[in-house]
Amino acid sequence: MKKLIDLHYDELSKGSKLDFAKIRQAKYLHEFDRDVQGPTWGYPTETAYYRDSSSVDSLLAVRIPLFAISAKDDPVSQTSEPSLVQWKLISPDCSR
Amino acid sequence: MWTAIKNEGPPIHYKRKLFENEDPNFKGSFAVDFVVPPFSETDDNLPPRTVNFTEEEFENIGSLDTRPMLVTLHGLSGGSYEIYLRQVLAPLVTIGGEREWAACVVNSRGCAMHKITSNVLYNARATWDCRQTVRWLRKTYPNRPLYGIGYSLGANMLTNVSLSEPSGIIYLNSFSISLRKVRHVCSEQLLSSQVHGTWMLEIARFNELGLEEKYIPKPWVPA
Repeated sequence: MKKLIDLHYDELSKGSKLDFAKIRQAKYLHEFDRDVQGPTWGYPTETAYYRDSSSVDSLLAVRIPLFAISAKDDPVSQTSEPSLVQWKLISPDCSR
Repeated sequence: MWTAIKNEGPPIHYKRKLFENEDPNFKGSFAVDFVVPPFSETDDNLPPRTVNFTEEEFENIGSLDTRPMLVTLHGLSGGSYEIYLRQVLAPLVTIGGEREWAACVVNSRGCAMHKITSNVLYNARATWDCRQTVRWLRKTYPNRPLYGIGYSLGANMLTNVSLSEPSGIIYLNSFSISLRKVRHVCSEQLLSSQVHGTWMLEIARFNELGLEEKYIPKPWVPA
């Protein structure tokens, strides 16, 4: 992600709200999101960005056939309790 | 896991079209890569096996055929060249005859060697480029049933696209792989596991998706 920012520095730096020195120091993805997505879209924190961009609200309102699969041992999006609860909002048959 | 394996994956050839977003709120260009039959030209300014459409080629791209068409959204910072994405496309676009799928990949801005042309970037709810592409596809291929597939962050975006179209109008039948439903929970999990990678499922099991039998391809087998 940092490489992408560097690659597009010329265009991005025009009238930019971004602090490029800070972005280059980011080590983790949430730090990158804090320094890039926050100022770009006006989110106060990276967690506000994550919450706002989550598709869980859309899932509840989708009116076309949608098939979603997720690996049980996905290191990012595991079938942990909170997400299982979210799935059960959609289907009572949802299981691990 | 598949992204960590240094395997070439199936070759998929693309021709690229740069679209300008019509909404002034989301100004800037975005690159859509259309799957085409193999060719031998190369372009060092684009990913492998990808060249730009010539104006002539693009003018005549429309069709009244009834092939199914797949719109692909890749994962975070990826692009149309990703192995996981090509593995899914390969059996669909090589099946032959009237069962053969048409397909395109909507690259996130700045990804897959697209040069951004405005300060509008993309984020996890960046539905604007995909929505415009779907509207354009509807117009250009009025008889094609459209399907969408998203991976990881692309899955999250696709789900948001599915919602943001007006109700009652079916634009896309969507499959989402490795859906990031609750992203702030995902972030915590990412931090706790300290695994900065994403596991992808290799191939969606299309026979369980309610697709018409004739569109179901044989699985692609790695050489």
